This record gives sequence, C-alpha cells and structure tokens, in this order.
Amino acid sequence: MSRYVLRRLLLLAPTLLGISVLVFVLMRLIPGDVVQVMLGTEAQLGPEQRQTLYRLLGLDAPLPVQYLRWLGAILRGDLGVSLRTAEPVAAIIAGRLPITLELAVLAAALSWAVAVPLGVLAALRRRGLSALVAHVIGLVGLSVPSFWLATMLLLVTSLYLRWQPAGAEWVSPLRAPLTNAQQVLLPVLSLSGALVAVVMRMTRSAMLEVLGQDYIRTARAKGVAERGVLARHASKNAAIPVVTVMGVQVGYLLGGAVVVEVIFGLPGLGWMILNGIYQRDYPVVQGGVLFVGVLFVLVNLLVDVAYACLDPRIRYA
Amino acid sequence: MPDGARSPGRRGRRRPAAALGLVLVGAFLGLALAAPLVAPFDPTAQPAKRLLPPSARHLLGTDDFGRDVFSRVVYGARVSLQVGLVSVGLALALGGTLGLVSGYCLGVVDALAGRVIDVMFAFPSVILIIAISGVLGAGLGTAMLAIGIVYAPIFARVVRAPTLAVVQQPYVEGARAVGAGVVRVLARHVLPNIAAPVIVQTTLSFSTAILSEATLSFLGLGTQPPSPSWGTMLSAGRRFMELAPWVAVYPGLAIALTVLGLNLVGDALRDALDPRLRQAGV
Amino acid sequence: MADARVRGQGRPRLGRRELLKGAAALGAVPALAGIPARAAAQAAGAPRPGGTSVWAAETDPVALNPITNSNFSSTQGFEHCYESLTAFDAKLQIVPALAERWETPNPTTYVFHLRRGVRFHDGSEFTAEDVKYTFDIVLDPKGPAVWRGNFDQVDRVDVVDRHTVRFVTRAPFPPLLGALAILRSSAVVPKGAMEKLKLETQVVGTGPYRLVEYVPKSHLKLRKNPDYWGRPLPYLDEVTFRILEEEDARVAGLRGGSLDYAFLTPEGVQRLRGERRIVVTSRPRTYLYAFVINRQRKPWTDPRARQALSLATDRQEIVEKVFSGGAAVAGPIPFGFGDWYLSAEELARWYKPDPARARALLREAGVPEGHPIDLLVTPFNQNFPGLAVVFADQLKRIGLNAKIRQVEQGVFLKEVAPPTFNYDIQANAYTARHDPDGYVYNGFHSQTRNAAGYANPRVDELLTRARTTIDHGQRKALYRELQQLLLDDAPNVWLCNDNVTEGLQSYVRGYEQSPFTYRAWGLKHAWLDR
Repeated sequence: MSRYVLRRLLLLAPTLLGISVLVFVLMRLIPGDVVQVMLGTEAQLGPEQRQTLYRLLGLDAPLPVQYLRWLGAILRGDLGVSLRTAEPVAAIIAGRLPITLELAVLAAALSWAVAVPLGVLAALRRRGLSALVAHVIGLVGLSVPSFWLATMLLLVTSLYLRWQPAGAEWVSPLRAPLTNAQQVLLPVLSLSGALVAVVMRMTRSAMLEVLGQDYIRTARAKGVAERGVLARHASKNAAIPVVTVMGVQVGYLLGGAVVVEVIFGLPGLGWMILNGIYQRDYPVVQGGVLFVGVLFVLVNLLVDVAYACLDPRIRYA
Repeated sequence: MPDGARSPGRRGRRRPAAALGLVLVGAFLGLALAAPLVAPFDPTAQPAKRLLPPSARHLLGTDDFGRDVFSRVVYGARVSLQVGLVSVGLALALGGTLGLVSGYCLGVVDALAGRVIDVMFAFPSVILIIAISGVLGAGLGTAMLAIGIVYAPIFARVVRAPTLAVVQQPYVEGARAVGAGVVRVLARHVLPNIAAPVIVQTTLSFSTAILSEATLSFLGLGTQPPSPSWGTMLSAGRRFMELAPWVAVYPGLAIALTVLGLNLVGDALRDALDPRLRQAGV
Repeated sequence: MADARVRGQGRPRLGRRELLKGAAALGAVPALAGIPARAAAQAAGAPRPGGTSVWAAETDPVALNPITNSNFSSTQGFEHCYESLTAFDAKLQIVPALAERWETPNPTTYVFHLRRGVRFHDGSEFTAEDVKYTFDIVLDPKGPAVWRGNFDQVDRVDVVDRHTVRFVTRAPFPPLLGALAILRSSAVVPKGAMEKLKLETQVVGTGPYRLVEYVPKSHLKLRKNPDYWGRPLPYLDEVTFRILEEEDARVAGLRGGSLDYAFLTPEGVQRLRGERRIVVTSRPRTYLYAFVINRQRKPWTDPRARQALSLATDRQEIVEKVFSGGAAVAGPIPFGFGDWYLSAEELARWYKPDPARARALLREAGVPEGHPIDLLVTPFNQNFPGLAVVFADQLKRIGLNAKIRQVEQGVFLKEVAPPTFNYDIQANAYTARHDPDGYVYNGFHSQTRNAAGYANPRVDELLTRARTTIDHGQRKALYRELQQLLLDDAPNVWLCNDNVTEGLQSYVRGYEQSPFTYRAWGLKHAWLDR
C-alpha cells in the first residue's frame, strides 16, 4: 500500500508540470493583456508609457523566460504577486480558501445527507412509484443550471420570506457562527443541488448492484430481515463508489462553485481565478489553478486510499 | 425474478422512470427537428411590444425585445440539440480514441495518456472552458468545442477500463500473437464491451452539455445574440423574474425537462445494459 | 404623472421618460417609488453625526491607485479617500477642495492657493511639495499616469511657497480645473508615495474617509477621518461598501434592510416599487452611449455610408427596449452636461429615423444589399448586448446584415485598441468627462490615436480653438458648431444618456446624486435619521 501511495505522489510531479504549462499557455493565448485591461477604452497612453508598464509588470521578457521564471519561483515556494493589486498570490489564496472550503465541505455534507437516503430508497423500491419519485427528486438538482437555482432561492427568500442574510462581508464561522450560517445557507443549497443528483445516482446503482449479489440473495433466502441484510452487507460495499465520486466532485466544488460565488458575492477561489482571467492577471490565475490542481490530486489520492481500506478485495500493486 | 424475455410494454410499466424519460426526450427531439413547423414566429424577429404576458397570439409571452418566447423556446431546442451532439460527439471522438489507444497499447503510451487525463481532470472545468473560449473567440462553435475538450477525459476513462480488461484476456493475446489486425481485435472484442458504458455516458454527458452551455451564457460567452439558446434566454431573463417571469421560466422549464428526461433515459440504459445490474433483476 | 399601474404585470413604467424629457436642467427627479418628495427635500431637521452604514457597490474597484487606474469603478473606490485641488459638487459646478482659491495672472498660468492645516491620513501635513510630486509623475511622458492626456497642455508645476502652487500651460487651457476635479490621475498623494507605498491597496489621502480594509470582490471598508478639513463632515462614522455585482443581491439587500444604498437598473426600480421604506431617485447621468464606427475600413470611409447608419437608427426604440424608457437622446456631448449639449429638439434634425433616405445613401456610396457588418460588443455593461440586438434589427431594415460578435472585456479592449481596430461597429459609452473637450477631442481630432482614420480639418480646428478659448460664451458657440459638424459627418452613431438610479433606505438623508455617478460628494453629506 505504501508503495502505491508513494508512486501516486511521484506521479504528482508530471501532472502538476502539465497543469502549469497548460495554464501558462492558455492564459497567454487569450487575446488582450493586463495593460489593456488597466487602460480600458477611455484612457490614452503613448507607446513609451505602455513599455514602462510592461517592464514594471515583468511582461517584457520572451515567453519561455517568463515561464521559467515563474516555475523557478514556484519551486522556491513563491507564487508571485498580482499584476493588478501587487498583493502576494499566496496571501490572496489564503484569504479565499476558507470561504471555498466552507462552501465545499458543507455542500458535500448536505448532499450526502440528502442523496444517500434517496438513492437507497430508489434502489430498494426498485419499480415502484416511490422509486420514481425519489429518483426524480434527486435529479432535479442536476436538471437546472446552478446559477438558476441560486437566483430562484435568492428571489424566493427575499421576496416571499422577506429574509436577507445580514452582515456586510463574509465572516468566518469560527468568529460569528450564526451570521455565517445565514450567509452560506443559500449558496450551499445552490451548490449541493447538482451534487445530490450525482451522489444519489451512484448510491442507487451501487445499492442495486450489491443487492443483486449472490450473498445478499443467500441472506435473503435464509430469511434474514431486510434491514439486517442492508446494514451488514450492502452499505459497506455501496459506500465505495460513492466515496470515489466525491473525489471527482472536488473539482466541481473548487472550480465550478464560481457561479454561486458570483451570484452571492462571496469571494472564493473560483471567482478569484475567473476574475483573474478577465483581468489577465496571470500570476493569480496560474497560482490559483495550480493550487486547485494540487488539492484535487491530493483529495483523490485520499479517496483512493479510503477506497482500499473499505474494500478488502482491492489491493494496489 | 431474473428474466428471460420481457415485452417492451411490460418493461415500460415496470420502469416508469424510463418511460417518463423517453417521453421527455422524444418531445425534445420532436421540437428540435420540427421547429420551423411548430414555431409561429421567426425567433430573432421583434414583432411585438416587449414583455407582453402570455396570450393567444404569443403563447408564452414576449421577451424584452418583443420577440415571441414560444418560438424562441422551440428553436432553442435546436441549439441545445446541436450543442449536445457536437460537444459530446467531439468528446467521444477525442476521449474515446485516447482511451482505446491507451488501453490497447499500454506501457509508455498509457502512462502518458494517463497524465494528460489527470491534468484535464485536475484543471477546474469551468475555468478551462472559459480559457478555451477566450482563446478561440466567443460563439456557439467555440463553446461546443470547449465543452467537448473538457468532457473528453471522462470518455477516455470510460473507454479505457473495459478496453484494458478485454485486451488482457488470453484469447485476445492469442489473437494478437497469431497476427490478427488491430482493427479486427478492436471491432470484435473491444467494441462490444465498451458499447454499454459509452452509451450511458453519452446520454448523461448530453444533459450536462446543455447545462454547461447555459453556464457559459451566464458568463457572457456562448451563443451570440440574437440566436435563441435556452441558456442565454435563462441568463438574460433573470432580471425580469419579478416583472415578467415568463421570459426566463419557460426556457428554464425546457432545460429542466430535457435534462431530466436525458438523465432518466441514461439511468434506465445503465440499468438495462450494465451486466452487474442486470443480475439484480432490474 | 407617476403611473399608477399595478406592478408585476410586466409593463415597465413609461411615465418616467416623459418626466425626464421635460426636465431641461440637471435638477433631481423626485422619488418615484415609496415615499414621495418629502425624503428628497430632507426637511427633517439638522444632520445627526454618527452611525455605521452598509452600501452596495455594483462594480469592483480592482485596484486603488489613483494615478495608474483608468477604470471608472476604481475611481468609485478611492474617491472617498483622495482629493484634488478642485472638486465637482452635485450639480457639476467646480468648487474649491484642496485649493481654497485660484487665479490666472495670465492666460497660461494658474496659481492655486492651498488650504492650510490639511493633514494626510498618515498625519503628515499637506503642502505644495505634495502637489508638485504628484503632478511631476502625472506629467512625465514616460510615466504610468493613464490620464496624462487630460493634462497634455500643462508644461510644468512649480512650488511658489509652502501653500501656493503654479501650473504653467503651453496654451490657454480651460479644461484644467475640470481635469483636476474629476479625480482621474489628479488626486494628490503624499510626497514619495509611489516609491514608499503600494498604492494599489494602500491609501493615504486627504479625503473625508480613511481606508480600513479592501478585499477585492468582497468589500471596501471606510472609517471617518476625524481630522478632515471639511469638519463636521462626514457624518457617518463607518461605511462599508459591499461589492455586489448581481442586482438580485442588491435588491434583496435593500428589501431586507441589510443595505442602506444600492445602484439600480430600471428593472430594479420596478421590483422595489411599493416598498415603503425605500426611496428611489433617478436622473440623467453623463453616461453617453454610442456606436463607434471604424472609419478606416471600407465602406465607412465614405461619410454617406456612416450617415446612412445614423439615419437607420431609431433611437426611441432603443430607449424603449434597452433602457425601459429611462434614457434621454443625446450626442455628441451628453444631455445635462453644463450648458454644452444640444437639446432633443435640435437633435431631431439628425435623429429622426429615415430608412428610405438611408437606403438611398447606401446605394450612392456603393454599399451592396446584404453587406455584412461585424458588430462588436462586450457584456461588461449589461446594456451593450441589448443595444447590439436592437441595432442589428434596425440595420436589417435597411438591408444590412449585421452579425453580432459578443466577446469578453479583455478581448474587446484588444480588438478596439489602436492600431488593431478589428470591427465595423462597436458599442461603447463615454463615462464621466471633466470637460466637453473630453467627449470630443480624443477620437475626432485627426492626430489622436483613437481617430481611426477620421480626419476633418474644420473639426480639428474647432477642437483646438475650443480647448484654448477661455471665454465661456465663445467656447459654447464653438462646441455647438463642432457638434453639428460631427453629427453631419457621423463618425459615431450617438444614442442617449441613461440614468443614474439609486435606492436608499428612507432614513438616509443628505445624499445628493451626481450625474457622474460619483458618490463622494453625496456620501460626505449623508447622515442617518434614526
């Protein structure tokens, strides 16, 4: 097992290298640069002034040189500074991370809590109406774009319930849990919609698969109570693919939460990166994507290790 | 009890989810294909006053430019169909090929492909789509291309595992030793095994492609005005939700029903085709 | 005159448009939702200092460096903390700020007598040295000041004594006072600030508020400057600008009472109709929308083709469909800007749609039926895509095939920048400018980079004379002639001004709207009546 983990960690390096090249190249390919964004359409700047700005921002060197400089800095632990605000990228990420983490963890927890029972219900009552209902409810969250869900929630709560999250800016749940709860309730609901569907689907098919196994049928034939069958044999095995899917969902949560962050005005990682793209703030985007990539790979590694622990049949070479 | 043959009618009654899904998907396809016959107005024409509520003349009202919402929803089905077909087709072609090659050739090729797939997965997908759209210029074509590229790794993974399993079978190794051509091996042994998961994944990705296009429209990329895509209509109609809800509600409903239908069909297909689930007597 | 139709029935209010058209001057249009005129009159007693308030900002400032930032939203971020020698009040009159008074001993010299006893937020005293330091950076041709062009006639700035400073210009330069007041590369920073501080996120100014904290995309927190020279202003102790780009969130905040102020669109106004505790005020703002034509690309080199575009434009339809009636036709100088602008009646000569004549002009210019047009637009401003859709439809009526190309802001900036000019027509807007010169010089004087091939010697002459003439009456006549020439030549298709519409809780008093959508003046005078 430890050899497996080690091998996976070593594979981290080429993956991260690939991410770094991809994000660097993509950002440079996008037309427009930060100086143009800074100037807008209204200001007029002569060519010499532009050159000064390019030089100050480190954008005058040839591209491979810029890439190597950045890579070298990363290896020294320096993520660079924002081209727009001159803040260190690491500090920006550190400021954003708690918000995104909170949204991600809460959305994942909520979706699990809702989706697993729905999936189990849909599997058990295989052909009945209740199965259909559970199935459809679970899928509803995936049937509408998350920005739609967010807008509808905001509208319903503010218009009909007359309820509006108090507080000027996001406060940490450690400092003011009640205020924070109000602020994140709607965003978490919007985020978890799609997750519920995915987890429910995984749970349902995993349960169906397990319920069809021979040993389950044997237990049933022996007359063991349905509940006992479930608890002891099915759940543990069904948990495996569900856990696996959570790993993939990390990507959605970290980067895809951007839409929910935009609508509710919560400055998380996703929006930081998106805004960086619009501003052509290369260090922010490059640093942010790399960071998210590392998180993603590590979480997936954890998930795969958990997978192995849960299912004794899995052995990693 | 595990079945022999069941008549489709009985299957339909036993699987209401699948039936519902098929009805919804059928309606979607019907609208998309028969759009010019069904829609009373040109979707980009501005014939009426803006923000009229639903009436006999404008079944679903008019939007903020005076365009008929019903016609736009109907033609929007075409755009969604296009988005689904092209982007998923591209993802299947790119990813499927990658997965096949990877699973068949193994070794270095597989390792390399594995890294590429890992990189694609680790990159936040929304960001990747936006970046690609930025590079290639806005528009529906770019959006479809971007979505296709982002979905490719999923198909690569879906294809690779069964390919790997088949290729490692003794009879396949035997066939290769004897000198059977790659194509023959692929066609006879691999394809039947990957067909089921690929079909399921295609259906499911179709639905998320429609959602992805809607998100792109929300961010200002995606379909160019005045083209009627459900995503653009949904996104642009948000500001009128309290004043003229029909502008956004109906495209939203259209997306929801279509995506729901595709998901139900996808799940039903998985139930029917996945050998492990078939055992469960579903 | 306010329309009494029930809200939520889908028909946007048109009553406001009539109201606005009737308002010839720049007066405020009283509240149109909730409590009427009483709140606008602020007759509820003397201002009470103190209190904290949460306001909504609809765009993110991004960075707060007053010298190197060009975007309007950046100014809306730092305008509360920085000041210049002069300022604009709510009626766009130039008033003293850091300079108490000034005189012009000769047409090319401005002497400013600076206010005494003013301190920067770090406690250091404000003197003429700081002014010189700031403007040396601004005037440096290789320097980073993005609005240096506003000061292009200024030769140098001299320190006369500790509290007196002299601006020497190359020619008479009446736009100078406005260029200072508009806070575009004109805010005074302490000597040495560019080297010692990170001005993108650190603010050391002389203004009524100090910056406590700025978290991009989240909030901007300000605290009252107790040593402000304008004591007893400001009244509010602490103001937090919550950055909410989505209007849904702003409307929800106003409704729920967690926001005291928000900028609104016409739809936002509709949604808040009937909210008794919220006062909405609206007035035309100097935000002039126009389609900029690429005058160096055929067939737009021919003025007849350009005139055809203008004649095909139905500006009333645009006001209806894109602005829900909340806009006033204008151009080339925005409606309500001092007395420089042309009235709607005068504009009718060019603005009456005439598709038949447009078609004839196109034929004369040799433009074939179905000629494709690349209509470039960015959703940066939510009205731009709407403008494109309506305009494309109007162009179709005269046989032109406009294809809308909607791109993201960064790409848009690249496409329209000199020397690229990759478009036939682009949708754009002129935001606050310090002087009529700011709306016409750059882009129409053949020597400017943004002229994109437009060259009319008479226009050049008028532009140069108007910006160096001191007498107001003479200037006005020159700009009048200039505007008529530009409308004839049609290098742009000018459209309209939209409105600055703001919603405030009824207990917020003293706030006055600025047609520039600047908030500093209003916030400085605001107080809470509760």
